[in-house]
Amino acid sequence: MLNEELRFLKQTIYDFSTKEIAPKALNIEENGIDSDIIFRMVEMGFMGAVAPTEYDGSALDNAGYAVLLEEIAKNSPSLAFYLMIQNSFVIMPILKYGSEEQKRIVIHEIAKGEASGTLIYSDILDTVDDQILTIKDGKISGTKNYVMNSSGKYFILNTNEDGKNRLLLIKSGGSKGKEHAKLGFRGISFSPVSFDTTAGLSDYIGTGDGKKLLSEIIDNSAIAMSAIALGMSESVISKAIEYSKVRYAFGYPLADFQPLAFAMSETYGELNIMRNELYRIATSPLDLQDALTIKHNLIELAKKSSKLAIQIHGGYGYLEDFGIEKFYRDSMFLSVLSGNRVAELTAISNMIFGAEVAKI
Amino acid sequence: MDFSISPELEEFRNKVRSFALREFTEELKHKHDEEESYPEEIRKKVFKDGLVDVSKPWEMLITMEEFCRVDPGLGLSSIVSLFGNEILMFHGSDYQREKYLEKVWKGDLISGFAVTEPNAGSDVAGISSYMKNNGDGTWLLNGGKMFITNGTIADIFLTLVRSSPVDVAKKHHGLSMVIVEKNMKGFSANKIKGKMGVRATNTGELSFDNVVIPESNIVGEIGKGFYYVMEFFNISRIYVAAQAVGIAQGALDYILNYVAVNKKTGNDMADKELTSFLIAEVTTRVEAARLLTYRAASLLFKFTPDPVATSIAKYYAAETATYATEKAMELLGIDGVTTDLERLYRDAKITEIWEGTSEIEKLTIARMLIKNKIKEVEQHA
Repeated sequence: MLNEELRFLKQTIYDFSTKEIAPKALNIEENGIDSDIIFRMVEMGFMGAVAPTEYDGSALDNAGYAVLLEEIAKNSPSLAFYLMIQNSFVIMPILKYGSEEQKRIVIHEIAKGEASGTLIYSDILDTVDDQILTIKDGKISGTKNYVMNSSGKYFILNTNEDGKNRLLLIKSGGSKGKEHAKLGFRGISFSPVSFDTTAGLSDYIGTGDGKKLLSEIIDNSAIAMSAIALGMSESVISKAIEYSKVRYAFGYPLADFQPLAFAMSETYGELNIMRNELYRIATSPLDLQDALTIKHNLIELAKKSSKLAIQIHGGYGYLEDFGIEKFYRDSMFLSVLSGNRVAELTAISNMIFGAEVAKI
Repeated sequence: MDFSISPELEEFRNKVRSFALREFTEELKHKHDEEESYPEEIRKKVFKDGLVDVSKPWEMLITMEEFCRVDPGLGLSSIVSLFGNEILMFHGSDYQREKYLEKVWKGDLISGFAVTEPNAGSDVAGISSYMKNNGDGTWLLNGGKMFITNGTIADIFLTLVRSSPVDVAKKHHGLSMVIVEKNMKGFSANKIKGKMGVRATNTGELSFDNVVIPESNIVGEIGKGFYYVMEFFNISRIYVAAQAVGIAQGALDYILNYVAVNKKTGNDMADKELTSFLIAEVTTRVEAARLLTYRAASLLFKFTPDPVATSIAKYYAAETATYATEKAMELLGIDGVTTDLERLYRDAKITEIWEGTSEIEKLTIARMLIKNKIKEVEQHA
């Protein structure tokens, strides 16, 4: 499926991920992504993976970017999601909707590892435990409860002024609340952020409705999230397959037992079918229906594979040191962070039916 | 046929639920999960309030269910302090019962049940801890155990060991049950850290290095250990099923609360059929798991345990626990990932692994049914 150039890229990132990320994966979960790793991400050109070279980026296309996230996610889903936040949630929106100045400053800083950013998109997640940020007399105020990479410098967020939603890029001005105890992606900070600032008010991004733009940004990250889910599935199922060859019960390797071998083989097969589909979509002109569909399927597959892998590993699968259980947590967290599930299923249905359906 | 629960038991259920809601505070739930520390203070209160009384098995079962509904880590920790006691109750000598069992029942001693080894989990008869007869009324034990609940806090361990060389054709022969005390020379235990869930429970790896076991610490008959373990699984698996029912019910509580809160704030989630179907599907499975568990329990408590009923209950309830926490997490979305539901989701998965994986439960169900059918066919022939 992949052309020669992509195969070469895949091999390069695979080697990097195996040699440099795998040994640090557990530490990333416990202590976060340290400056050494960021330094290597910058050197490899991953921080600004999708940015054009004029902004110090690597100018990867959709497929190349997917390859990057897939290979990093195999060892550290946290790091892959972090890279996706920088590229899909910050760099891409700025490239698409931002001013030249924003591009020159923010993208440059991210690509060089001098700063990181994040997107606050809980506004489109139907939460009951969050506030809408408001602008009054030139001042932004309010608290957003669910902010990934909340320790970063730049925030792209939705604000409401006189009933109108606008997307804003702000530099600092947010104060980070207490870190949440969280289900997954433990290597990335996740906390409330309170705003009470006038900073950056001139930096509107895009001209449309802020919530609509948030949805667009999330839609546009579907291939990236699919690639993370793919890498996660691939990693856990491969570990389960390898383990089942060496772990014995009742005198036979686990792989000799029909239900176990069949379950792993079936998942492995689904994975290969979906990988081909993902790269077909990534190398074709963007088709939202296909992109959302593969995202939902791959995230479901990541959940299913990690659950199966824990079961194959038994008690060992339940222990952090073995690097299996994190996929069970991360895949569910990815599912939660991947967008508004019901809204997306409705969008897919509407596209398939060619009419507004699924209302009741 | 009568599916009703007695008013006394319902009253008891209210009592344990109130206890859990009152004592399992947000602070304690968080603390013991984060620090992976054992909630000794809660265990003491549970015993003081008489919530764990082996002479009232239905109450024990309801305690397990209601505690796990609120918090499996804290709930389990306090009840599991008498893990394995039934083996002593059925097979222990007067000396063992007096020295150990009565104290375990009162909560003055903590017991553990040590079967699993690094290389033998589901394959119980595959263990290699070996006890050699010294010929002077003592035995010499060497080997180790893995994933042992109460590993570094228990005073005594009901331990399965090999007491005669392996007969390859009959691997389940030659296994014996012995009581290992934590103070015995050559015994050591290390805490296993980093469990995904049930982190308030204590888990350890045990090591036996020339531990001298007096003959008086052999439980029941020498060589019968495998059978005692299988018999015990008929009991412990029902309690795991009750854990799972509690966890699943806890997840359902989250779902219903969340839908109600949304309705109050004007979100029309509650009026959508997707939500209705979800509520109906999860409730149906939780109810089915509960009935299967109570049925298996009622057979056991009448001293007519049925391994098929037990395994069906354990397998189905555990699957329901992981299913219900998954569905709750999907519904609550970002509102769920930082709450107690997050912990419940991590806790749930263990029920499909410990005290017999779901795979082993399925084998037990099928093998018993096939065996019975063959007998029936032979009788007719």
